[in-house]
Amino acid sequence: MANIFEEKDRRVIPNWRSFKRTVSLGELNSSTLIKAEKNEILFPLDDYIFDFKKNLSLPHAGDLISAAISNGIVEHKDVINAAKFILSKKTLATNTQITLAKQILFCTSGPRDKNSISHLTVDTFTRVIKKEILWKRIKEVRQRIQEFPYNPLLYVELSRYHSILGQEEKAKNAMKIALHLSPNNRFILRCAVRLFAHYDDIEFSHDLLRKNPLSYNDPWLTSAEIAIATIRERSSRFIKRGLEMIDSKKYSPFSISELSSSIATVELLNGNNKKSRALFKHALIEPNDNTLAQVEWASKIDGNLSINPLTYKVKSSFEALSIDNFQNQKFKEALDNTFRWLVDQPFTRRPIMLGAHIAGALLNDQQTNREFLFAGLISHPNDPQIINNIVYSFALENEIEEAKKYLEQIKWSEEINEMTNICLTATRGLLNFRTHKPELGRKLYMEAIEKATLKQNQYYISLALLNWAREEILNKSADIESIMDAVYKIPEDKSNFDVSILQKEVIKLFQINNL
Amino acid sequence: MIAIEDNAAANLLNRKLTSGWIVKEKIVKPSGTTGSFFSVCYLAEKDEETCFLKAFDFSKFFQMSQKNDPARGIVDVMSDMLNAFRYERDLSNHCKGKHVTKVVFVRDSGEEMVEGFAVPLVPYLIFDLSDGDVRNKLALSDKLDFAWKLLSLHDIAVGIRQLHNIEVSHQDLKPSNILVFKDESKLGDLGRSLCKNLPSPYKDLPYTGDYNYAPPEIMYGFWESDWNRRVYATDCYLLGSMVVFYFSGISMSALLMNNIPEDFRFYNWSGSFDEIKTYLLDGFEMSLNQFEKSIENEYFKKELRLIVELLCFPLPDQRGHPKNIASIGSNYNLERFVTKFDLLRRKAEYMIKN
Repeated sequence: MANIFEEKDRRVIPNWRSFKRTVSLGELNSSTLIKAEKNEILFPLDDYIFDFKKNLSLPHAGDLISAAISNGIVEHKDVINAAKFILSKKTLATNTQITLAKQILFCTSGPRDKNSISHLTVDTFTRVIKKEILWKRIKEVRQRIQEFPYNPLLYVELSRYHSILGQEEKAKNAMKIALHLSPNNRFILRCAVRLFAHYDDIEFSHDLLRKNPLSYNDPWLTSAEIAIATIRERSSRFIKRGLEMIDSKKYSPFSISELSSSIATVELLNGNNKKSRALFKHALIEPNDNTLAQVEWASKIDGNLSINPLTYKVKSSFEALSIDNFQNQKFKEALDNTFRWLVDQPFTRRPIMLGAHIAGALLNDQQTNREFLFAGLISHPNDPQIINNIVYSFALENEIEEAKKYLEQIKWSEEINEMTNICLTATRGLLNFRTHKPELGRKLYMEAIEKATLKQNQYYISLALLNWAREEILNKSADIESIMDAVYKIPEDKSNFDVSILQKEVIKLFQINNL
Repeated sequence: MIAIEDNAAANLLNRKLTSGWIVKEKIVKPSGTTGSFFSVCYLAEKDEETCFLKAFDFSKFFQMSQKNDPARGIVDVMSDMLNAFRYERDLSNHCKGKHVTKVVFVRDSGEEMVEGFAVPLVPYLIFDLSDGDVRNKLALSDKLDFAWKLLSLHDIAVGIRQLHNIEVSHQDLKPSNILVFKDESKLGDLGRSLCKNLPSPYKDLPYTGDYNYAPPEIMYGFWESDWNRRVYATDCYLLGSMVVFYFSGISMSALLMNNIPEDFRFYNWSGSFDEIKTYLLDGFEMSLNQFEKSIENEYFKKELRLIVELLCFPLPDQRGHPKNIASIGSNYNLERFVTKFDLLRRKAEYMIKN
């Protein structure tokens, strides 16, 4: 039996993406409302234009496009002409001149976004999620570091790749170098906080922010500090400061969105629903994807917070959309959005478990189920929960050898949590049924049900019972009636669609077999 | 009100100046003499020698003054013009005879009264006539060999170092200010240079050169209060940017801005220089990679990349040769780079011969 996706407590921990993607989301822009005013023409290009027109040579064209790029005025017609001139002399121009000329002409003809994550669908899974791609990227970043070891962002990127591959120590070491090179940078601090929180090093993660003076003035860091302090079950000393920031009107609504939702979460957990709602409302003025996902999560605790994430035009809000689609039983859309969520943040476990659950339990698509789980094993090698689900999926399709191969990967000597243990017991029951050892299978299913009963977990009791009943039907066992009685009596569970789907399948299978 | 057309400096053609120079030809904004916004340029002859004449144009000074500070009167603007003229002349004289060989000096200077204009006074400077600026030279030979480029860079580095030795900072090093005389390259346009011992009309400006070539700290509004550190760091960056231009045909500032996200470019940035440093380092690293791709030869690729990395490092306190940074003295001493350019030039020549 497979573990389900469990929507645990959620906090506004910063999301961690590549630098380029984080920039494109606007999370690294200045927080204050004061914007730099762009002058019409910052520094005159007249001399450069005159020289180019007079000489019509590559060095003069290069000089003109250089001045234009430095000034950010590449749309100027003479600059475009200079770029075209360079491309007309491709055999003589330098690589750099050709690249920049193309960029000028490309930018002026409008941006294209064919390869963005929001266009990906789950059928591209094996093409997009590949260990080999990560190894190649790590090699490239390492080479770049060797050439120029002073760029802290390269270490952040290296850390991200290692964390996607589940290489905890390497990821942490690279991040520590980035922090050493640039201890007061918002992007690096937020990434570091996420990384160390991801590996349950909450204390270190918290200290990074608690002791950093930037946390006092930068709402993006203040919000993260409050979230981490909550996980650490401490009261953040930045809450008061955060509220001052929100009230000050000095910051753009986008900049304080995470901060508002972070404090709103604290209020929600303290039972101050009224305050929490007001802060979430503030957070939703101009939310980012993290805020949207947080509100989506909070809406399960406080129904008044229910939102439709689609009404907010937020970039990369795949998490919120996945959960929303899932809750509204739009499973195909949910699967695509979960896949996008995984591509967006490949080191995270939650999209893996949700995607696998939707594909395996709700859409009966074992191939996609396993693709999610295999991707999960990249970032979480030896995770017993993920391995259990792979074994379960292979066993269901009677791929016994594969199932056994993965079951052998379980490290029984390491601590396995009780819920995963219940699932593993039931899965071993399934495997025994499929290898024609019904007695042992039956015993294991009963053991799983007993353990779940001890934990008073009705959901796991139901799942184990339904899986057992299915195996007994397929085994054409004599004593099926008593099990089916229990199947019919399974209480309705509106929050777990997979139970009712499986219940219907088992009843149908029983009826067909009894005809 | 003075009309722009009312322009004595633009009316020197065919005149014999009191200094004996005959103004032969007007150059419509010639290549090789930028900084010419405030001047009108001519070819002038004397004793069968043709030279370059730069006439200071009052109307342009007035035009700029009206734009920046409409309250300034004619006397103030006149004073500005004379200060600029005097400064360029005096700075040139200051450099002469102090072992400065790679700089284009003022050969002669004077003031001409051109009657019939509201402001008839035209101060002028006479310079040696070059073959053109380095862009023309680079354009003439598409496959200009490495040796020549390195020779020219060596000349420039020597010129900058010679100026630094007498506490002068060029501040306006760019392709149009590298003048070529046969095979020798010299630094032109000392008009925007700064000298520690001469009162400059631009002394209050953090940067006096062309902002299109300015180092990143200046672009982002940060500058050292220490004069030496500020101006020599700037010259270092500008020299590195020349290396980039010689081999990639693009300036370092353009590469850097191009490799920084749009929102972080100086014209969109409202944060501090400290806040941008991390992103500058990232953009710089990508710029170096891009620069490298313009050079085919592996040996020169690595050597030149290192030179650019040291000279153009975006954080001014870490700019310069590491051995200089580690030792007592100026970070920005160019001696090691002069030697390096010379060595590379010799290697390039050796490779051509063999």
